[in-house]
Amino acid sequence: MKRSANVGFMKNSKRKRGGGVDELDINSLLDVLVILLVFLLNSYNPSDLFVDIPGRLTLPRSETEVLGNATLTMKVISLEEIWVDEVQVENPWGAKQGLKAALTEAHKTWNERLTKIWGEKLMKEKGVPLNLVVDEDVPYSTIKQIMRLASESKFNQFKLIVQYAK
Amino acid sequence: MKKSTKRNKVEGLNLIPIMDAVFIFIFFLLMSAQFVEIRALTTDVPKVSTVEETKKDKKKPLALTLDIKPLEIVIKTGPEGNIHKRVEVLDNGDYDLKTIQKTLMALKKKHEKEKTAVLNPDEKVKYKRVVVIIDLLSSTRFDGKLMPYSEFFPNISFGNL
Repeated sequence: MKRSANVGFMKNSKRKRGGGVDELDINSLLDVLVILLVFLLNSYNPSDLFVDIPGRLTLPRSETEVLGNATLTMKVISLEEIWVDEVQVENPWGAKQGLKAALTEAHKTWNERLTKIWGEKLMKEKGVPLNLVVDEDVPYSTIKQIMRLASESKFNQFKLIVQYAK
Repeated sequence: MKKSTKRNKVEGLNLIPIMDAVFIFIFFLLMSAQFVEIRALTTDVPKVSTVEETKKDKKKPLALTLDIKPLEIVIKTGPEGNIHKRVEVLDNGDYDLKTIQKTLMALKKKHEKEKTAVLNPDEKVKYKRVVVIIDLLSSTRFDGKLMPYSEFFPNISFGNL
Protein backbone atom coordinates (compact mmCIF):
# COMPACT_ATOMS: atom_id res chain seq x y z
CA MET A 1 0.00 0.00 0.00
CA LYS A 2 2.75 2.40 0.98
CA ARG A 3 4.61 1.78 -2.22
CA SER A 4 1.64 2.36 -4.50
CA ALA A 5 0.79 5.53 -2.60
CA ASN A 6 4.30 6.78 -3.09
CA VAL A 7 4.15 6.01 -6.78
CA GLY A 8 0.95 8.05 -7.09
CA PHE A 9 2.53 10.93 -5.23
CA MET A 10 5.53 10.79 -7.54
CA LYS A 11 3.34 10.83 -10.59
CA ASN A 12 1.47 13.91 -9.47
CA SER A 13 4.44 15.92 -8.44
CA LYS A 14 7.53 17.19 -10.10
CA ARG A 15 10.80 16.81 -8.34
CA LYS A 16 13.52 19.37 -8.42
CA ARG A 17 17.05 18.25 -9.10
CA GLY A 18 17.96 18.71 -5.48
CA GLY A 19 15.23 16.25 -4.46
CA GLY A 20 12.68 18.80 -3.12
CA VAL A 21 9.02 18.70 -4.22
CA ASP A 22 8.18 21.41 -6.73
CA GLU A 23 4.39 21.11 -7.23
CA LEU A 24 1.76 19.25 -5.26
CA ASP A 25 -1.53 18.19 -6.77
CA ILE A 26 -4.04 19.77 -4.37
CA ASN A 27 -7.12 19.20 -6.53
CA SER A 28 -8.44 16.36 -4.37
CA LEU A 29 -7.82 18.42 -1.20
CA LEU A 30 -9.74 21.33 -2.70
CA ASP A 31 -12.60 19.00 -3.63
CA VAL A 32 -12.87 17.79 -0.05
CA LEU A 33 -12.68 21.33 1.30
CA VAL A 34 -15.44 22.54 -1.02
CA ILE A 35 -17.73 19.66 0.02
CA LEU A 36 -16.97 20.36 3.70
CA LEU A 37 -17.64 24.05 3.17
CA VAL A 38 -21.02 23.41 1.54
CA PHE A 39 -21.99 20.95 4.28
CA LEU A 40 -21.01 23.38 7.05
CA LEU A 41 -22.71 26.32 5.34
CA ASN A 42 -25.86 24.24 5.20
CA SER A 43 -25.74 23.43 8.90
CA TYR A 44 -24.79 26.97 9.97
CA ASN A 45 -27.08 28.45 12.58
CA PRO A 46 -26.95 32.18 13.37
CA SER A 47 -28.66 31.71 16.75
CA ASP A 48 -26.60 32.30 19.88
CA LEU A 49 -28.49 29.54 21.69
CA PHE A 50 -26.54 26.35 22.27
CA VAL A 51 -28.17 23.53 24.16
CA ASP A 52 -26.44 20.35 25.16
CA ILE A 53 -29.17 17.75 24.87
CA PRO A 54 -28.64 14.56 26.86
CA GLY A 55 -29.37 11.25 25.16
CA ARG A 56 -32.33 10.43 27.40
CA LEU A 57 -34.13 13.64 26.45
CA THR A 58 -36.04 13.67 23.16
CA LEU A 59 -37.19 17.03 21.90
CA PRO A 60 -40.62 17.31 20.26
CA ARG A 61 -40.60 18.13 16.56
CA SER A 62 -41.94 21.35 15.15
CA GLU A 63 -42.10 23.20 11.84
CA THR A 64 -41.48 26.60 13.37
CA GLU A 65 -38.54 28.54 11.99
CA VAL A 66 -38.14 30.90 14.94
CA LEU A 67 -34.64 30.76 16.34
CA GLY A 68 -33.97 30.78 20.06
CA ASN A 69 -31.86 33.20 22.09
CA ALA A 70 -29.33 32.66 24.79
CA THR A 71 -31.03 32.99 28.17
CA LEU A 72 -31.64 30.78 31.18
CA THR A 73 -32.16 27.22 30.02
CA MET A 74 -34.05 24.66 32.04
CA LYS A 75 -33.99 20.98 31.13
CA VAL A 76 -36.87 18.82 32.27
CA ILE A 77 -36.36 15.09 31.88
CA SER A 78 -38.96 14.14 34.49
CA LEU A 79 -40.67 15.72 37.50
CA GLU A 80 -37.70 14.77 39.68
CA GLU A 81 -34.86 15.34 37.21
CA ILE A 82 -34.63 19.03 36.45
CA TRP A 83 -31.56 20.99 35.40
CA VAL A 84 -31.27 24.78 35.75
CA ASP A 85 -28.35 26.36 33.87
CA GLU A 86 -26.59 22.99 33.47
CA VAL A 87 -26.79 22.24 37.21
CA GLN A 88 -29.11 19.50 38.43
CA VAL A 89 -31.55 20.70 41.09
CA GLU A 90 -31.44 18.44 44.12
CA ASN A 91 -34.80 17.66 45.64
CA PRO A 92 -36.67 20.18 43.45
CA TRP A 93 -40.06 19.81 45.15
CA GLY A 94 -38.83 19.20 48.72
CA ALA A 95 -39.50 21.24 51.85
CA LYS A 96 -36.65 23.63 50.97
CA GLN A 97 -38.16 24.22 47.54
CA GLY A 98 -34.91 23.63 45.68
CA LEU A 99 -36.34 24.52 42.29
CA LYS A 100 -37.81 27.85 43.39
CA ALA A 101 -34.55 28.87 45.02
CA ALA A 102 -32.59 27.88 41.91
CA LEU A 103 -34.96 29.80 39.63
CA THR A 104 -34.90 32.95 41.77
CA GLU A 105 -31.11 32.91 41.87
CA ALA A 106 -30.86 32.26 38.12
CA HIS A 107 -33.31 35.11 37.39
CA LYS A 108 -31.05 37.56 39.21
CA THR A 109 -27.97 36.38 37.33
CA TRP A 110 -29.61 36.46 33.89
CA ASN A 111 -31.34 39.78 34.55
CA GLU A 112 -27.94 41.39 35.13
CA ARG A 113 -26.38 39.59 32.19
CA LEU A 114 -29.14 40.45 29.70
CA THR A 115 -29.45 44.08 30.91
CA LYS A 116 -25.84 44.58 29.81
CA ILE A 117 -26.67 43.24 26.34
CA TRP A 118 -30.20 44.53 25.70
CA GLY A 119 -30.24 47.64 27.88
CA GLU A 120 -32.60 48.52 30.73
CA LYS A 121 -35.46 49.81 28.55
CA LEU A 122 -35.76 46.63 26.53
CA MET A 123 -35.38 44.48 29.63
CA LYS A 124 -38.31 46.24 31.30
CA GLU A 125 -40.45 45.43 28.27
CA LYS A 126 -39.30 41.89 27.65
CA GLY A 127 -38.17 40.59 31.02
CA VAL A 128 -36.04 37.47 31.27
CA PRO A 129 -37.34 34.69 29.00
CA LEU A 130 -36.94 31.09 30.07
CA ASN A 131 -35.87 28.41 27.61
CA LEU A 132 -37.71 25.19 28.42
CA VAL A 133 -36.04 22.06 27.10
CA VAL A 134 -38.59 19.38 27.93
CA ASP A 135 -38.74 15.70 27.00
CA GLU A 136 -41.59 15.04 24.56
CA ASP A 137 -43.22 12.41 26.81
CA VAL A 138 -43.43 14.56 29.93
CA PRO A 139 -47.09 15.08 30.93
CA TYR A 140 -48.50 18.61 30.92
CA SER A 141 -49.03 18.44 34.71
CA THR A 142 -45.23 18.62 35.17
CA ILE A 143 -44.86 21.54 32.77
CA LYS A 144 -47.74 23.33 34.45
CA GLN A 145 -46.08 23.02 37.87
CA ILE A 146 -42.78 24.29 36.47
CA MET A 147 -44.34 27.20 34.59
CA ARG A 148 -46.31 28.26 37.65
CA LEU A 149 -43.17 28.24 39.78
CA ALA A 150 -41.22 30.08 37.08
CA SER A 151 -43.86 32.80 36.78
CA GLU A 152 -43.68 33.23 40.57
CA SER A 153 -39.93 33.73 40.10
CA LYS A 154 -40.65 36.63 37.68
CA PHE A 155 -40.23 34.79 34.37
CA ASN A 156 -42.99 36.02 32.10
CA GLN A 157 -42.11 34.44 28.78
CA PHE A 158 -41.39 30.82 28.02
CA LYS A 159 -39.55 29.60 24.96
CA LEU A 160 -40.38 25.98 24.27
CA ILE A 161 -37.29 24.52 22.66
CA VAL A 162 -38.12 22.10 19.87
CA GLN A 163 -36.35 20.19 17.15
CA TYR A 164 -36.87 21.57 13.68
CA ALA A 165 -38.65 19.15 11.38
CA LYS A 166 -38.56 20.21 7.73
CA MET B 1 7.31 21.69 -29.42
CA LYS B 2 8.58 22.07 -25.91
CA LYS B 3 8.76 25.84 -26.23
CA SER B 4 5.14 26.11 -27.39
CA THR B 5 3.82 24.04 -24.43
CA LYS B 6 5.69 26.26 -22.01
CA ARG B 7 4.14 29.35 -23.56
CA ASN B 8 0.63 27.92 -23.29
CA LYS B 9 1.14 26.76 -19.74
CA VAL B 10 -0.61 29.00 -17.23
CA GLU B 11 1.60 30.35 -14.50
CA GLY B 12 0.89 28.62 -11.15
CA LEU B 13 -1.73 30.47 -9.09
CA ASN B 14 -0.85 31.35 -5.53
CA LEU B 15 -3.54 29.45 -3.65
CA ILE B 16 -2.04 29.90 -0.19
CA PRO B 17 -4.13 32.97 0.88
CA ILE B 18 -7.33 31.33 -0.40
CA MET B 19 -6.52 28.13 1.48
CA ASP B 20 -5.86 30.15 4.64
CA ALA B 21 -9.20 31.92 4.31
CA VAL B 22 -11.04 28.65 3.60
CA PHE B 23 -9.51 26.98 6.67
CA ILE B 24 -10.48 29.88 8.92
CA PHE B 25 -13.98 29.81 7.44
CA ILE B 26 -14.25 26.07 8.07
CA PHE B 27 -13.22 26.46 11.72
CA PHE B 28 -15.74 29.28 12.18
CA LEU B 29 -18.51 27.18 10.63
CA LEU B 30 -17.52 24.09 12.62
CA MET B 31 -17.79 26.08 15.83
CA SER B 32 -21.23 27.44 14.96
CA ALA B 33 -22.68 24.27 13.43
CA GLN B 34 -25.67 22.66 15.13
CA PHE B 35 -26.41 19.16 14.04
CA VAL B 36 -29.74 19.08 15.90
CA GLU B 37 -31.57 22.07 14.48
CA ILE B 38 -33.10 23.86 17.44
CA ARG B 39 -36.03 26.24 17.23
CA ALA B 40 -38.22 28.00 19.81
CA LEU B 41 -41.97 28.37 20.28
CA THR B 42 -42.84 31.44 22.31
CA THR B 43 -45.59 31.42 24.92
CA ASP B 44 -46.47 34.11 27.43
CA VAL B 45 -47.67 34.02 30.98
CA PRO B 46 -51.35 35.04 30.84
CA LYS B 47 -51.98 38.63 31.86
CA VAL B 48 -55.20 40.00 33.27
CA SER B 49 -56.31 43.26 31.67
CA THR B 50 -59.48 45.27 31.44
CA VAL B 51 -60.65 46.31 28.01
CA GLU B 52 -62.71 49.45 27.60
CA GLU B 53 -65.41 49.07 25.00
CA THR B 54 -65.34 51.84 22.45
CA LYS B 55 -67.97 52.87 19.96
CA LYS B 56 -65.80 51.82 17.04
CA ASP B 57 -65.15 48.38 18.46
CA LYS B 58 -68.63 46.92 18.67
CA LYS B 59 -67.55 43.52 17.41
CA LYS B 60 -67.28 40.90 20.14
CA PRO B 61 -63.71 39.73 20.74
CA LEU B 62 -62.90 36.23 19.54
CA ALA B 63 -61.22 35.10 22.79
CA LEU B 64 -60.14 31.83 21.21
CA THR B 65 -59.54 29.03 23.72
CA LEU B 66 -58.52 25.47 22.95
CA ASP B 67 -59.05 22.75 25.53
CA ILE B 68 -56.55 20.02 24.72
CA LYS B 69 -57.90 16.73 26.01
CA PRO B 70 -56.51 13.25 25.41
CA LEU B 71 -59.36 12.29 23.07
CA GLU B 72 -60.57 15.61 21.68
CA ILE B 73 -59.89 19.30 21.15
CA VAL B 74 -62.61 21.66 22.28
CA ILE B 75 -62.58 24.99 20.46
CA LYS B 76 -64.22 27.73 22.52
CA THR B 77 -64.90 31.34 21.63
CA GLY B 78 -66.09 34.48 23.38
CA PRO B 79 -65.36 35.72 26.88
CA GLU B 80 -67.97 33.29 28.23
CA GLY B 81 -66.12 30.36 26.66
CA ASN B 82 -68.92 29.08 24.45
CA ILE B 83 -68.16 25.77 22.77
CA HIS B 84 -67.69 26.40 19.06
CA LYS B 85 -66.68 22.91 18.00
CA ARG B 86 -65.45 19.60 19.41
CA VAL B 87 -62.91 17.78 17.25
CA GLU B 88 -62.36 14.15 18.21
CA VAL B 89 -59.08 12.30 17.62
CA LEU B 90 -58.61 10.15 14.53
CA ASP B 91 -58.69 6.33 14.61
CA ASN B 92 -54.89 6.22 15.09
CA GLY B 93 -55.14 8.46 18.17
CA ASP B 94 -53.69 11.58 16.50
CA TYR B 95 -55.49 14.88 16.59
CA ASP B 96 -57.51 15.71 13.48
CA LEU B 97 -55.34 18.65 12.54
CA LYS B 98 -57.04 19.30 9.21
CA THR B 99 -60.47 19.76 10.78
CA ILE B 100 -59.01 21.90 13.58
CA GLN B 101 -57.18 24.09 11.10
CA LYS B 102 -60.25 24.42 8.88
CA THR B 103 -62.34 25.52 11.88
CA LEU B 104 -59.67 28.00 12.95
CA MET B 105 -59.38 29.34 9.40
CA ALA B 106 -63.11 30.07 9.36
CA LEU B 107 -62.77 31.91 12.68
CA LYS B 108 -59.76 33.84 11.43
CA LYS B 109 -61.71 34.93 8.37
CA LYS B 110 -64.28 36.58 10.64
CA HIS B 111 -61.72 38.00 13.05
CA GLU B 112 -58.69 38.84 10.91
CA LYS B 113 -57.06 41.05 13.53
CA GLU B 114 -57.17 38.43 16.28
CA LYS B 115 -53.81 36.87 16.99
CA THR B 116 -54.22 35.44 20.46
CA ALA B 117 -55.09 31.92 21.51
CA VAL B 118 -55.28 30.47 25.01
CA LEU B 119 -54.48 26.81 25.58
CA ASN B 120 -55.92 24.70 28.36
CA PRO B 121 -54.23 21.32 28.10
CA ASP B 122 -55.38 18.42 30.24
CA GLU B 123 -52.84 17.36 32.87
CA LYS B 124 -52.47 13.90 31.32
CA VAL B 125 -51.71 15.16 27.82
CA LYS B 126 -48.11 14.63 26.75
CA TYR B 127 -45.96 17.63 25.93
CA LYS B 128 -45.41 16.58 22.30
CA ARG B 129 -49.17 16.73 21.66
CA VAL B 130 -49.33 20.25 23.08
CA VAL B 131 -46.46 21.25 20.77
CA VAL B 132 -48.41 19.91 17.78
CA ILE B 133 -51.28 22.29 18.58
CA ILE B 134 -48.94 25.26 19.19
CA ASP B 135 -47.28 24.49 15.86
CA LEU B 136 -50.64 24.49 14.13
CA LEU B 137 -51.61 27.83 15.69
CA SER B 138 -48.36 29.53 14.68
CA SER B 139 -48.14 28.02 11.20
CA THR B 140 -49.11 30.12 8.19
CA ARG B 141 -49.56 27.16 5.86
CA PHE B 142 -52.89 25.60 5.10
CA ASP B 143 -53.11 22.47 2.94
CA GLY B 144 -49.51 22.98 1.88
CA LYS B 145 -50.21 26.50 0.65
CA LEU B 146 -49.48 29.86 2.23
CA MET B 147 -52.43 31.42 4.05
CA PRO B 148 -53.69 34.86 3.00
CA TYR B 149 -52.72 36.10 6.49
CA SER B 150 -49.20 36.97 7.53
CA GLU B 151 -49.87 35.48 10.96
CA PHE B 152 -52.38 32.95 12.24
CA PHE B 153 -52.60 32.90 16.06
CA PRO B 154 -48.98 33.49 17.09
CA ASN B 155 -49.68 34.93 20.56
CA ILE B 156 -50.14 31.80 22.60
CA SER B 157 -50.51 31.55 26.33
CA PHE B 158 -51.49 28.84 28.79
CA GLY B 159 -54.71 29.65 30.60
CA ASN B 160 -54.70 27.06 33.36
CA LEU B 161 -51.38 27.79 35.09
